Amino acid sequence: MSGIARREFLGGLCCCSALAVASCAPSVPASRIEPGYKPLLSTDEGGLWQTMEKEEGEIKRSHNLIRDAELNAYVRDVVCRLGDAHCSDLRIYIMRTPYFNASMAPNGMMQVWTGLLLRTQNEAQLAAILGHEMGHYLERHSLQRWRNTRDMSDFAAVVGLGGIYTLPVQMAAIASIPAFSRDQERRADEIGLELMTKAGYRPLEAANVWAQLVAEDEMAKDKSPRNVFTASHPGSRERMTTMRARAEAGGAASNETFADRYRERVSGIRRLLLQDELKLRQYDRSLVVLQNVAASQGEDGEIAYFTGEVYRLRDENDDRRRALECFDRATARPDCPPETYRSIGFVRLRDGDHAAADAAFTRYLELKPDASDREMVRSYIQAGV
Amino acid sequence: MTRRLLAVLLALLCPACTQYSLVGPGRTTIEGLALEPGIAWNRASGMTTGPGTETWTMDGPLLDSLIILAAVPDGKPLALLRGASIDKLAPFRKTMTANEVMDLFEATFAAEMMTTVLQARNLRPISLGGAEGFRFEASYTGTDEVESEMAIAGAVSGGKLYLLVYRGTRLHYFPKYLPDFERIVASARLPGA
Repeated sequence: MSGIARREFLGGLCCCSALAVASCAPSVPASRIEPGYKPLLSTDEGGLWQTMEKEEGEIKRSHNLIRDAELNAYVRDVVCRLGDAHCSDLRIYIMRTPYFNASMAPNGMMQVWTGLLLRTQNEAQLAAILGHEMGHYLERHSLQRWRNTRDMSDFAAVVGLGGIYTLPVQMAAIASIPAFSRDQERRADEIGLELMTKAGYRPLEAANVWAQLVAEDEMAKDKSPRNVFTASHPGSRERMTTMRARAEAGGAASNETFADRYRERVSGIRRLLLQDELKLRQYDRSLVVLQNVAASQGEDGEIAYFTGEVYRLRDENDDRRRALECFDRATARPDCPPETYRSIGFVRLRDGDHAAADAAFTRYLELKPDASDREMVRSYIQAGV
Repeated sequence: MTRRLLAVLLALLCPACTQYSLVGPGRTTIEGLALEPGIAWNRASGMTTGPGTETWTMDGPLLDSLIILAAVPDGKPLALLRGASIDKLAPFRKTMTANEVMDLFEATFAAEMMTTVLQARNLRPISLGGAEGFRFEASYTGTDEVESEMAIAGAVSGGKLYLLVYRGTRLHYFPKYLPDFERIVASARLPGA
């Protein structure tokens, strides 16, 4: 099986939080996993762990792995606050993937996607998602999925198509596995809420995560799901409502979101997160994400620049005017990225205002004389277009 | 996404679905774009979509490929791979600057290859086939963790985009056929330019 397919295949064995689904048929007992637990190698669960450990070895070498030591330590701290006794059993990998998701393998390998870090607005929201993942782990929800997947793969093998042709059959088989039960997802939500409340986080933030996703989905023109496994699961709106009711019914709880700490620790890769978001060209979703970031962190030069970029790239109706307004707000701030001036130049060029474009390009080159595209930008000025 | 993944996989991995024919050495023309490879490449059918789009390879598309997009009209996306969901890709606009075409290429290629670790760099002006063109390089790591390099040359002429994208694994294959890519770029003649 090729690398890409194997990763999708094994990824499906992880219990995923937000968009993907994870759950188990009722045959797996819901007893919580003990700290330090390791299955016997002679069992199918032991085999599953071995398979995931091999995959984990590849993830450790992945170019998509975010290796920022401070950020990794921070996310690990959040996980350990949630599941103190299990902390030493868990390994956390932050993967550069611009979608909202996290996953938990049965052997304690947790993946956190960067799209999640951009979309959660404080530590309590991150804890809500990570707590949900730990819920799947603690109750071993992956095991039945593995057994179902294995059975379906056996079916694919029986079909008798060898070599690479087995791949589509296996993928189709995996994709056809019935969705994990909503009860399993709800159970993970319950455990997540329990863990985050116990760890001193504001429980209402679990509902707020889903409210943000609902807003993003409602704004999106492209309604197609953005994850590999799209079987039914409790929708974001249902989850938002349920989580809010549970949080409010829980009585006295902490009101801490640790927003400042979250902003500070994620700031080192925020520009990367925004660049990757922009590459998706999902303008409507990106605008909601940027509005959420601005609302929770305040609009700085970088956020104003990227918001302007979304309008510039979309370029519909009066988007150029909106882009220029954003760029104006960005240039008024000391943390304005130099690229803002280049983008002003592009908008001015499209508007036919060559003098303003030249001025903007000149300013960009002054601020970033070593820019990788300096020759090209200089040519725009010399061309006098 | 599963459907797109399968389509990309089939496009890349399904040799029996792809037929090859020799192209070059010597002059060949695609939608009015004249090119003159110095060696014989294998033209792969079915790797890309639409007229004016071809994929050439020497040792197989997983190792090296030359994607030629000739005369992409205003409003159409860059069809770099057959498996792409064309309707979901951002379109080319004839008013785009070279920077904007590079950004579009970066976003399109990242989406089609399902990778985020892609970095375009060194955008600079060149003359391409009689038109004012541009050149840049890019690196990316696919989901198979193989590092690849790319060299891209392009121009917008008559409101249409012409793009030559050479890609190869960083080790061995990219440098192996880079000289012929340079020859092809130097030989390019755009219609009306």
